[in-house]
Amino acid sequence: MSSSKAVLVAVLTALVVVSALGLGTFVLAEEGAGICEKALLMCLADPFIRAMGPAFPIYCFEGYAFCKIYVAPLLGA
Amino acid sequence: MRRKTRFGGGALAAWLATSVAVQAQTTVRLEEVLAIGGPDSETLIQWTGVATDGDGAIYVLDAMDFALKKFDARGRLLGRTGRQGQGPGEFSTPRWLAVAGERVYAIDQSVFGVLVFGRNLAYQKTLPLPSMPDGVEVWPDRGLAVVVNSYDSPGKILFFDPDGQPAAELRYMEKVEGLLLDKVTFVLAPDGGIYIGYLFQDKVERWTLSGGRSWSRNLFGGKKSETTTVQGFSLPRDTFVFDIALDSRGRVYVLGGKRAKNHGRDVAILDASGALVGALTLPEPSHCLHFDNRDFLYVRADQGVTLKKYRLVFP
Repeated sequence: MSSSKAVLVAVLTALVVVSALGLGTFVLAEEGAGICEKALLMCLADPFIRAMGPAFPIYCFEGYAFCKIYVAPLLGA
Repeated sequence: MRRKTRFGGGALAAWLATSVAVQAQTTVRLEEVLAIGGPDSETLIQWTGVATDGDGAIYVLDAMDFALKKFDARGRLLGRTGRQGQGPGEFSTPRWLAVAGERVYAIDQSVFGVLVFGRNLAYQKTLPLPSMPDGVEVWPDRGLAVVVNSYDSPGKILFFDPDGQPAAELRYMEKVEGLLLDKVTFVLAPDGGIYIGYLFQDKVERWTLSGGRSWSRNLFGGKKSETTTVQGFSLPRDTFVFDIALDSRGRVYVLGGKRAKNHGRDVAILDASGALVGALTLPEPSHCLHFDNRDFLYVRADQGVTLKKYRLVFP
């Protein structure tokens, strides 16, 4: 894999987490917290997501689950 | 492209180490026959769903390109549709895909419904659902099936005829046992069997619509997932079954999650009775498994920029 594509893939992987959880911003996981757990926390606290109404936690949980199967194996999380 | 891939040597040992009730096993070898996309290609940006039709065409949902793409059997792009948005035929968070008859069914996580396209990629309609869909599969010779999850009731699989009319329903859990514990992947067999794998539980089960649960087994020692608490929500942390798929001989392929020795790579092969009959290990992590009607296996590679197609070689 070329270095430029490797960087692109890394960025896109991060974006998938963002996409999965519907986030507008992305912060890398802090030490000790899994990337999916960190992204879930952000999703649950996001005002835009909360505006979805009562279904918003489901949306975040679905994103958490997808993150677990799509992103976590790539990061060893 | 045709390239032999070396792996599988550790697969059987991995399952021997993590499995119970091990019976006769076979380590399966894979031969790569096709790669679509790649690190130096822009064909796929980051794909999530894959399906095939009876003519050998390959359909791919590209999540980061917000598109449904169609390739011929040699991997040449035949067409694409979709763009980012929430209008008809548009995608926000595309996930899963199935092809039944002349229709292509797509799941978008942000849509409470199933997006229906023709095999020519023309958008047709959206079938409404009562809750968030989490997977779609072909219901052989009958239509399609969708698993839906809600917050306050156990997940269920809904069955529809080809026109989208409700036909049946399967409740695979009696009550809510905890957040996300009803998250499943499933596949439907021509003989009526419904195979279900649990993402956050060590369970693979066979059900029938008329007879309930035929069997249930674990593949990872039967231990429960560790839990984590996020904003007061107690959630499972460890994953068990990423995906489940069937070949034309009725063998059941179970892609293991974090509790497998090789996260997202180990695949257990079961027969229709649930007995472990073989194993293989993918060269790279995948989130899904898909078989076409000729028993070629499609999986993820290069972190999602490549779709790879393999021939399975049984000893």
